[in-house]
Amino acid sequence: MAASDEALVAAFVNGDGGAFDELVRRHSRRVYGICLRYFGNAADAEDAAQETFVAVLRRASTFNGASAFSTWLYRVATNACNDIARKRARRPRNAGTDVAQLADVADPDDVLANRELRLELRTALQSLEPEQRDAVILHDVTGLPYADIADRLGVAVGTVKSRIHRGHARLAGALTHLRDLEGDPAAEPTDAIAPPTVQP
Amino acid sequence: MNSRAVPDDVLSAYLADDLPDDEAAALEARLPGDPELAGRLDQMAAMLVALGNLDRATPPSGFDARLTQRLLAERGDDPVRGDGGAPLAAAPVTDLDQIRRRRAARQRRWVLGGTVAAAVAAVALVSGLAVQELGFMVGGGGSSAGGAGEEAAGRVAGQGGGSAEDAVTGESTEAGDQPAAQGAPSRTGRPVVLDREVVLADEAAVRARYRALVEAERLLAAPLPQARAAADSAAAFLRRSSPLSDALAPAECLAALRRDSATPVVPARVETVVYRGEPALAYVLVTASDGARELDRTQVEIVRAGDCSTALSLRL
Repeated sequence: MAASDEALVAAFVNGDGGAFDELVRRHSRRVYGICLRYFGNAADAEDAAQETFVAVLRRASTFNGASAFSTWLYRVATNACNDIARKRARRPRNAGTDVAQLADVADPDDVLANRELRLELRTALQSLEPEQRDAVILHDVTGLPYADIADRLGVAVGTVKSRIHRGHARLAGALTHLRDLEGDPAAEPTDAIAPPTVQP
Repeated sequence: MNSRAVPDDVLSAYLADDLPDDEAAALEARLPGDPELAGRLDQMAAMLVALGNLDRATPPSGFDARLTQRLLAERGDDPVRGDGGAPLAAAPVTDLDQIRRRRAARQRRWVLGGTVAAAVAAVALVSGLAVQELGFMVGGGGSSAGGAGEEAAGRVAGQGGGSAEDAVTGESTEAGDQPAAQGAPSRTGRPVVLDREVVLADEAAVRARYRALVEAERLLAAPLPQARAAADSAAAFLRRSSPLSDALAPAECLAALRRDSATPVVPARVETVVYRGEPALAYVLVTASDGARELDRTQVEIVRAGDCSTALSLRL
């Protein structure tokens, strides 16, 4: 049986360099994904992903196991993104060619229709208030930074953050409700939903 | 206290690093004693990963190899090959093979240093050093063995009066910024060497990329005697580094950049770039203004790969 992330961290802290290698192998793509969503461009995302794992290398001994390693790593990654953005004194932006990799942002509904999402997530998203749903889709599904969403929606960045975090909270509640209805928390459809319905 | 006292939107904000520091610290303090709260936090993180399809992001070509090199540099003593660190599994086989071939030429020379470096790092981890200290040991300036070379060790150690090992690392497990004359550790670390051929379209792109680099900022305010030793140590380190892409040597143009300077010129980063369509090397250098008694400015020099001629000289 493969060792858990938490066991690997413990092994690394006790001197097993190979355990760290395995953690990197398991999580590098996800960390890159977190950073790409934050910055919206590959160059900054790669820098931030590297800084994330450097931070893990240095701070592994501070991981106390209260939450899952993957949760701790998520937080380390967003921290690294914020640090880089602050140090460079520029807002994270979507840059040139990378924008083309993103889904069409013309309409959040289109974005949602074009993305592969778990069925339960799609259902939960549809249950959100429109303002929250648009902000969540633009941020989480499309990968736009806060500032771009604020520009697009014509509201303050703080308002965007509030809508996103409250939207996440509503989503978490809706997912719990859906799973309760299904009666099996482990039954998570993971396949892509039907082909996109592209608006003309 | 019921974990529901912490609403889910706060958990979301915490994961996004959008909470004020004091609120984030309070939340972290609660987690060890509140498994339900920790479980909700885990669920929130998992939901965000699924929502953004974050596990399906496709990194650019060479991402794994560059990540591997960076981490090896943090764990070992060579920024390009990382002689002191254990191999990282993240790189594709072909990339790892390439790295190992590069390493082979100098394997015998550095194997002892690498072993000691790994051992020191392991001891540091096991003994539970403070986070900042651990960062200095394992990362930042590199580990305590190898890299800077024996002759550099002798020079720096002789000057500062500290242990040879502290002097070579340029970092220390001891806190403090006392002058070198008192035997305190240097604040300087080894230069970061990156072989990424970063495309820099213009001066603005150069400025954006190199402003406020950690490796440069930690050199600032170093007294000149210490800075001279650091400059020599860093230069020796770069001379020992393996060739970059297109057979460029990290130290190739450094001598020319240092030649006319009466004050210490300490390289903080050397990086392959493509500047205005031409292959080039970027040197981020920390130097001192005329009359200054410590390092007080950072500049970047973009030099053409063919002849080391200056393409851009920019004070940051």
